[in-house]
Amino acid sequence: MARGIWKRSTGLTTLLVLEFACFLFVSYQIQVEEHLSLLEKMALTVVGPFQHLSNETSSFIEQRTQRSKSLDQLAVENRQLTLKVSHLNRIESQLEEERLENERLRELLALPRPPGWRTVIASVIGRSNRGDDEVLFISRGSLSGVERDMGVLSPAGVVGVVWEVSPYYSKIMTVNNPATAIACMIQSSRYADAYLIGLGSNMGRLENVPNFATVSLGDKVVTSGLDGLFPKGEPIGSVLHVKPSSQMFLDIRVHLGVPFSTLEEVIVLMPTETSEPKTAIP
Amino acid sequence: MKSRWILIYFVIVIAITFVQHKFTAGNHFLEPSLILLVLIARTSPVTQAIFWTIAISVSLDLVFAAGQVKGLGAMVQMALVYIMAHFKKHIIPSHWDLFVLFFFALFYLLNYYGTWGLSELLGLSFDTMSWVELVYRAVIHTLMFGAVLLMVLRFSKDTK
Repeated sequence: MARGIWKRSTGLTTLLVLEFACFLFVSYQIQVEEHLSLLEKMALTVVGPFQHLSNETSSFIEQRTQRSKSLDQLAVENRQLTLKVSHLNRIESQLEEERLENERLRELLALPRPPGWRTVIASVIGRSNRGDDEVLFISRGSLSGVERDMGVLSPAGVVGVVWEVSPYYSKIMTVNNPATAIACMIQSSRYADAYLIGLGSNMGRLENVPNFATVSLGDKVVTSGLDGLFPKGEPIGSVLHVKPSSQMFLDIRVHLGVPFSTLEEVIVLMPTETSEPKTAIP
Repeated sequence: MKSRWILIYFVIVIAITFVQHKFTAGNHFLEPSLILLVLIARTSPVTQAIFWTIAISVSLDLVFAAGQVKGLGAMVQMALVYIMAHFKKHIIPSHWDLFVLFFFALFYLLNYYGTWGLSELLGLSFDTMSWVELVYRAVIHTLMFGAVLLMVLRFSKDTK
């Protein structure tokens, strides 16, 4: 019977004993205000390797995660920087264009203005050449005072003559166009009854120079001003080839000084009342 | 519940607590040891369950608790396990697992309030939480316990 009672109360006894043990354990901790260094050391010895393994694993995962995050961030930054670089490249290109335009305009503005002539600066907005029929289009028209048969210059020399005009744009027949004729003279000999006809490309033919005139290779050809389109002395080119012909006149080829294919800004010459009247050569 | 399975569950409990300890800087939300204790009390004899309770609870305290009094939780949990074991003979066997599920929620709440009361009695500090948070945690833990219990019932051969 005692055994039966014991058996029935085993659970309760165990509980009370263990509760009491726990109570002593807790009381001891509170009393000495220490935290059972020996037990903790034992626990640490047993659990230490697992904790180490856990720490290693978690820090490995953390590192991987951070690396992955930083790679993602780098990819995003890389995309942003690529966009920024392309944007800056565009800006740099625009700035370079503006710098070059600025230089060209300074060069144009630095040109000596012939007395009795007004000038208008215009941009070249188009080119056309069908065979030898060379023309340019510029960004100024009648609203800017441009009229037909006005001369057009560049820092390198004579460009051509205004051929057609609209309110905002004009068509320029360049001096290398076979339909153009500019009154000119040979600078060294001062022979002034010649006129230049275009031959396409950068070449022109000097007409009306008699066989007896003194012309040498490399002689400068300038405007004579007799046609009223240009003031006297504007450079056109230099003599490249001279040969007596069977007729009365010399066969003279002139290399034109203006680079037509790279021309971007020009000056339109406008005669004022004091300048000579126009007498365009047909 | 066989000792082998108790040890396996205990290792899982330690692993979960380790991971949680690492990533939440000591602020433990999950208490998987309570699930293990109730699972042990569900099928083990009362004496054995009480021994397992003190062993698991005190060892977890020794490993994870820092700067706290260890063994306080064990006192409360042993009492609760004892009470639960005594209910067994008054419950219809086929309803026992359902009772255990509901008792677990009570177990969680009583464990909290018991530890708090004991701390007050002994003049120790205790990190309290609002009742809303307590109920939230109790519900989460009860759901987890229910899931574990379902798996045990489905896959374990020694269900009772």
